[in-house]
Amino acid sequence: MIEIVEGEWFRLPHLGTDNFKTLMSLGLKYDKAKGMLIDSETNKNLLITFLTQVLKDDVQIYKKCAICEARIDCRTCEYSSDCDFLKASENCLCSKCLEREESYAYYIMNSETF
Amino acid sequence: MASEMWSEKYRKIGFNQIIGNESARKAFYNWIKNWREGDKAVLLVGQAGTGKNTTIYAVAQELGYRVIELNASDTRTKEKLTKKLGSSLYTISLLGEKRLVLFDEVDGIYGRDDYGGTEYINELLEKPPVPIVLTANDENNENVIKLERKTIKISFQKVPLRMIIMYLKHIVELENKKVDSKLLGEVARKSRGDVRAAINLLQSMIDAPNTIKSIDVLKDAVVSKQDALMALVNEENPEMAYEKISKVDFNSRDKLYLLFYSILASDLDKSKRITALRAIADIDIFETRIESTQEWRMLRWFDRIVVNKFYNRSFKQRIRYHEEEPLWELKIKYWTELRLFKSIKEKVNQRYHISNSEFVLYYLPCLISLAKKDREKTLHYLQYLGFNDNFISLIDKRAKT
Repeated sequence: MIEIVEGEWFRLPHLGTDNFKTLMSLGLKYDKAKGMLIDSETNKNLLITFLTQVLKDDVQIYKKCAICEARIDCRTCEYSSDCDFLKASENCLCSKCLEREESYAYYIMNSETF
Repeated sequence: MASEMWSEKYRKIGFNQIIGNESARKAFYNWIKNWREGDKAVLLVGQAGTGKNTTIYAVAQELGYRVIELNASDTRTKEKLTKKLGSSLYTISLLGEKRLVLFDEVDGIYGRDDYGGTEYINELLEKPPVPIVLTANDENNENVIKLERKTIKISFQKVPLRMIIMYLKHIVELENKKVDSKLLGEVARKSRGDVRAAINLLQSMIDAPNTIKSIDVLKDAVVSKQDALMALVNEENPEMAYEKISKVDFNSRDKLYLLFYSILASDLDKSKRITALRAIADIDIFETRIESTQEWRMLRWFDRIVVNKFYNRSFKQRIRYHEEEPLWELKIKYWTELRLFKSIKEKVNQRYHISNSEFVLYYLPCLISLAKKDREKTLHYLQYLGFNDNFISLIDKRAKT
């Protein structure tokens, strides 16, 4: 299983020039030193399909909790049927942080650092 | 006094108080912070309610810019754009004020290809004298795709639902209201990633507890289109008709189309058909104004207006449910007239520097009324102006009716 977290740099095994070009055309960001990054331009749906075919393995994209930075698996979220999570922006909230009192205040505190 | 709309009230927030799209917001902040004369303009693309405009105003506020906003779908000709922007593009104010030009909803202006407006924006984009920001809702719009080459594109995505719930909780606390957390979840679900829609829906629920009482009502959207239309035309009690039509889970524009197609397909005599279509036109004006001003909260009156327009009217019981597009013969008729209008559009735009809508709204009725008063002179005058025979015969036909 290939696990990718939105907003975090990741590396893939060498896939050849043509596949690299395809990955770039899907909107991935590339930095020689850091690797690859999903950003707002990335077509996440196509990326999963493409990587699953090329790597012959399951690919899972996680969001990051904007408060505690935990990984969030959108497939298990109670709102997944209405959220269209592959087209939603990179950060979300984990269920624990959503239940927290003053969660918005914590969110703002964390946003100041980005 | 009517309370302030929360979506407006909570729009005036700081850059760090906005929710979602963290990297897109950061990219926009960095672009404007490092902007130098001649730098490319930026194109913010994303569906309504994702925080594009809120981000622009918050960053402008933080970095000391005054935003000169032009709603591209309203101000479309080169003349109007030049007049509105004036010399502010090329001068520095006495107080050294920094300016940022915002062309809102450029998919609107580019879609209408009105005279000069598009070229004017394109010229500005060549070497922007001030930071220029364009916004668009539809990233697949052909013209938005063209603009991507001349600009730096930043995409705004839908806001995750849990994040919307977090923000709604915060608003409820600030407003000192008590709302069940499950209900907030349902509001977020309905919004589908549109923060503004979520805030509007939340406020509507709190403002109008009699119309939307609980989570069950929100879920109760199972009335079929046919039942709703039948209730509208058959129901004697307007409240009952409203109950049904408001519970159909499709948007106001679709409701308008349903009524329109049903009226066209129904067996109404000419005068009743005209009255029915006028009622539709009035509702259409209301709906279009809401869209152009983005006063979405006004949509809560939409169903009331529909019921009011059709209540107690003699024609209503003859309306039959019809969801398909209009009959082929009717389509051909509209298509032919539309083609005719399109053929004269460029001539009118270029020669008289007026937009299509101005021509249709103000000039066309005048021409018809002149033709009614003095047919020969008017038709002769139109010939003199260079309009083609088809157009002249259309005016003639309209004048006779």
